[in-house]
Amino acid sequence: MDYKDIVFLYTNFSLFIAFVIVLRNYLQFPKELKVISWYVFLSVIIQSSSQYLAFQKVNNLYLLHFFVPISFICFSIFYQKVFESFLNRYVLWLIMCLFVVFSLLNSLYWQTIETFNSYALSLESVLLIIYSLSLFALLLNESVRIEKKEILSSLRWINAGILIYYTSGLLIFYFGDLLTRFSKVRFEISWLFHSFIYIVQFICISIGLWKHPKN
Amino acid sequence: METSEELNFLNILLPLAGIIFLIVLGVIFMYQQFRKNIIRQQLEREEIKNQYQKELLHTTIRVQEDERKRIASDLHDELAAALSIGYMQLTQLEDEKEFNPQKIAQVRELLQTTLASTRRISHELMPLQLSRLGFEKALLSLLEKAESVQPIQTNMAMSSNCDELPWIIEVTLYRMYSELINNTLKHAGATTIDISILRKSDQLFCRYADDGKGIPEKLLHKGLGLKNIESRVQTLDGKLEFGNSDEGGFYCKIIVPIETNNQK
Repeated sequence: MDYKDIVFLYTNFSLFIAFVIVLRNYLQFPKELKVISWYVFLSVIIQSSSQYLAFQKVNNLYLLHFFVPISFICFSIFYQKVFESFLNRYVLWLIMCLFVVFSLLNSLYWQTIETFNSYALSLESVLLIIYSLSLFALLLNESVRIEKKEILSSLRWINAGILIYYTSGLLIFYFGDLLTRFSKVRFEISWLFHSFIYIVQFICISIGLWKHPKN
Repeated sequence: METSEELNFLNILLPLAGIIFLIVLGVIFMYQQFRKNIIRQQLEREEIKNQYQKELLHTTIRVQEDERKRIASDLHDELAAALSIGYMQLTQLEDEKEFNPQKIAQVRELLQTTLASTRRISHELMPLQLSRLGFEKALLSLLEKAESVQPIQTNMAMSSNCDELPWIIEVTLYRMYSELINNTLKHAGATTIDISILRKSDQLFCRYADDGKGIPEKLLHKGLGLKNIESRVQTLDGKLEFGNSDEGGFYCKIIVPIETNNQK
């Protein structure tokens, strides 16, 4: 078995676990976890479509141009719900709208749909790193921990998954253009690393979803 | 060559440094906003708590004043009136200088009535049943009284280790249950009342439930009787939860620490 096949298998497996947990428990999830479930659904759709297109030897990069703004919308709604009583809700809505507009303009003019949209991905990563670090800072406060005690464990795991994936990913997305100019091997190593952090992200999300409040 | 490499290095590193700076700035901004809102919420919570404490204090004072008024009126209308009639009758007997067995019987009857009134008033001040019968039997007697007033079925379960509770807890719980039973009989139209008292290590878990029509939502935090119960629970450093149960009817749960009340 080629190492690419192994990575492919584990990536799909981690996504599959999260998908099964979502299917089994969606109705019991609180609003915050329901939004994360949408992200899991979106990831399943994008992942299966991109693999089908890759199998057909068709360029699948344009899927990323849809995935980036929609995934950012999911995460923005998630953080908006978590920060609900601690931050003016319009702040996150405004950032979300501005990002979607930027992503659209980027796909239309600067990095067209057949190229890798590293600008949008990098900006998405920066914003999500800010949100996830802010959530960890917020959870240091005891009164917040008491308020969120039922969902605290889920929040920690999901937030950790987001922080790990987007912090490590930022470097790959940031140096995305640069990496394509290097040798093919280095490019493949960097994307192998990307797959690894993608798996870590979905393991964290799966644990977070699994630890949802039971009552 | 060296300058070009340095330039390349700067071209890559400077934007990265900028990105990290942006992230740090973003986190600081968010944290400041959080802090502001958390402090605001804490102040609001304190305000609500203070307001609530004030209301409880007012209720306690009002209940005390009502009780004093009732005792004063009982003493004035029953005892004082009966004693002044007795005094007048005795004065008349003294003036007559003749033995009048009918009048003496009247005075004796009057004194008996006065004695009964005194017993009733003192019983209301301090439940005699509680000291005579003990906590469990006193509660059972309360329930028996309720059954005799209305066609209602009552059930009581009490764990065997509840026989040596501090006096303050017994009196307070007796009064609370008395108030709750009274409320059920007056307003609920219930067919059953369930009481359970369970002692687990250092805590007493008390429950009261009926299957009546429950308490209207608007009265849930306004009723004087319930506020009275809240203030009583607070004097015991206990926790109180009440409301309408899913099956219908009213429920009330009280948790009382035993050790802290032992010193009172």
